[in-house]
Amino acid sequence: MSNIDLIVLFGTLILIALIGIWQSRKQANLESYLLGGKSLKWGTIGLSVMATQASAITFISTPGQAYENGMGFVQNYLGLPIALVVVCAFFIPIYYRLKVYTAYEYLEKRFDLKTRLFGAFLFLVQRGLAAGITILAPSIIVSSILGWNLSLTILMVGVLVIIYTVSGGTKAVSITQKYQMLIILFGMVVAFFVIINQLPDRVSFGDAVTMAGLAGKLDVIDFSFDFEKRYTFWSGILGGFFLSLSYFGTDQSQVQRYISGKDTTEGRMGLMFNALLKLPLQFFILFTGVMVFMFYQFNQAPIHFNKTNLDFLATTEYAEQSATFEAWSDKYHKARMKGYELIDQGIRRQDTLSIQDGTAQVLGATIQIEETRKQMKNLISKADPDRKIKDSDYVFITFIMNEMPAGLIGLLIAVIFAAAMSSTAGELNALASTSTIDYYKRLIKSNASERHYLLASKLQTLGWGIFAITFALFATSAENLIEGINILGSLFYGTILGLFLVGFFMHKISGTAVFVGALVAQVAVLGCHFATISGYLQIGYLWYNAIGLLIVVIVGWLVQLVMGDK
Amino acid sequence: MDENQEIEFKDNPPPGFKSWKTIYLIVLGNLALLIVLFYIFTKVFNE
Repeated sequence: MSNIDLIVLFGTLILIALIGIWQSRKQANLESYLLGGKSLKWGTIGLSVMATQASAITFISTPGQAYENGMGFVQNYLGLPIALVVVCAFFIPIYYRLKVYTAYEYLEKRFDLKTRLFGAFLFLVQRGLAAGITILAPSIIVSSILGWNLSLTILMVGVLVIIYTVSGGTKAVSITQKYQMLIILFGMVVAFFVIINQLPDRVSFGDAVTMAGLAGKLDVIDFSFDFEKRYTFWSGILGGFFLSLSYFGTDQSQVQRYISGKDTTEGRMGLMFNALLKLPLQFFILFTGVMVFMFYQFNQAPIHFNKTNLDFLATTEYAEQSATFEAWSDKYHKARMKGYELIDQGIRRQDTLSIQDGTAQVLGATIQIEETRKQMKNLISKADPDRKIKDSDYVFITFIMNEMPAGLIGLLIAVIFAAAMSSTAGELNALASTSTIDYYKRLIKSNASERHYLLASKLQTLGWGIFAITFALFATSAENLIEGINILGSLFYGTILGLFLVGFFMHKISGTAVFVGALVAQVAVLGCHFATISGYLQIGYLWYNAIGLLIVVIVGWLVQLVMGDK
Repeated sequence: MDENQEIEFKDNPPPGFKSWKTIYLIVLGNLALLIVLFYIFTKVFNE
C-alpha cells in the first residue's frame, strides 16, 4: 500500500472515531448513554440501522458472490421490507409505550422474570460470539491480502471501536455509523464507476451487461419451487421474512438503534428508510461484483484469488504442478483475447464467419480457464485437505488492490474497516445494555445512582469489547467463520422470535407455558444442528428459525392447555 | 404496565401523510415494483 493510501485509510477511520467521541462527549445519565438521550433523528437512525446490519463481510463477500454465482443472492432480502412493516406496526409502539432500554424488558412485563432472563441470555450468547467473528472475519481477509499481522489488525479494529463506544455510548455509535455508512456508500459508488471505466474501450457498458447476461450472471429472480436451489423467490420471501423479523424486531443491536429516537415517528421512519433502500443497495453491490467479473473477461484474473494459498503451494511438493496450471491459465487467457479480436474484426468487416469463430474461441478458452481454476483448487486441497479453497471472498479485495488507483485503495480498505467497526460498535453497545439492564440492574443492584449505572454500563461495554477481541485473537480456525455468523443467528433467532410473537398475539399463554416452549425449542434446534453436523439429518440452517418459532408456539400452547386458563 | 407511561405515549402520524398505513402501502408497493423490475431484468438479459 502506498503512503497516500495509508493516510486516507487511517485518516478516515480516526476522523470518524473522533467525530463520534466529540459529538457525544456529555453523558450525564443512563438514558443519554444507552438511548442517546432519545434525541436521534430518523436519518441518523436509518443509516445506523443499515450500518449495524452491513458488516465488512457484506462489502467483501457479496461482490465475490456475484462474481461466482450471479445476482440470485438478492432474493434473500425480499422478505426484509415486509418484516420491517411488521416491526413498525407492532413492535415499535410497544417498545416506546413501555419506555424500555432493551427488548427483553418487554418479556418480563408481558410474561415473567425467568422468560426475560432467558431471552436476554440467548441474545448475549449469540451476539457475544458474533461480535468476535465480526472483527475476525474481515481481519483474516484484509491481513492476508495486505500482508499485515493478523493479531495487530484485530487489535487495531477492536481498540478503536472500544474507545468511542465506551466513551460515547449509543449516540457515539449511531453518529459514527452514520458517517461510516456515508463513506461506505461513497466508496462503493466510486468503485463501481472505476470498474466501468476500466472496461476496454471497445466494450460499452451496454455490451458488458449483455455479455454478463449471456454468462448467466444476471438471473435475479427465480420463481421455481426447487428446494435444492439455495436462492429462490420463495425461500427469499418466506425465509427472509422470518429472519428479518427476528433480527430487526428482537435483536437488541437493532432495537437499540430505533428506540433511541425522540418518538415512534423517528424510529419508524428510520426503518422505512431501510425498507425502501436495502434491496436496491444489495442489487447495486451484487451488480458491482458482476462488473468485476466482466472486467476479468478482458483482463487476466489470478488463477486463484486467495494468494496465501498460492504462496503455500509454492512451498510444497506441488509447486511445479501449480506453476504449470498458472502457465495454462496464461495461455487460455491469451486465446480468449484472440477470440475477442476475431469478433471485433468480424463486426468491423461484417464477416459472420469471423464472429462465429471468435465466439467459439472465447467460449472454449473460458471453459478451459474455469477448468484450470478447479484443478488448482483440487491441488490446494491435495496439498492440505484442511485449507479453505473457496476464494470468492478474496475477489473484490484483490481487484481493489491490483486495479484501483492510489488513494482509492486506501478509501476502499477504509470502507471495509468502517463496516467492521460499525457492526462491532452496535453489537458491543447492545451487549452492554442487555447485561447492565437485564442482569446487573435487575438482579444484582437495583437501587443505585444514575452515576453508578453509567459507570457500570461503560465497564460492561469495555468488558464485552475485551471479550470480542480475545475471542478473535484466540479463535484458531478461520474455516467457515463467515458462514458461522449466519448459523449462530439461526440457532437462537427462532426461539427469541417465538417468545415475542406469543407475547404480542397469543394473549392466553402465560410466562411458564411460553418458557417451557422456549426451552424445548432451543434444545430441539441445537439437537437438529448437532444431528446435521454429525450427518444424521440434512437440514439447511435457515430452517432452524422456522423450527424454533413453531416449537415455541405449539409447545407453549399445549402446556397452557394442560395448565388450564392463565 | 405503568399507567402514567401509557398516558404519556403518543403515536404521531408520519410527516406528510395522514396515517402510517399509507407509508406501509408505499413500502409494499415499492417491493412489488422491484420484484417486477427484477423479473423483467432477468428475462431481458437471459435471452
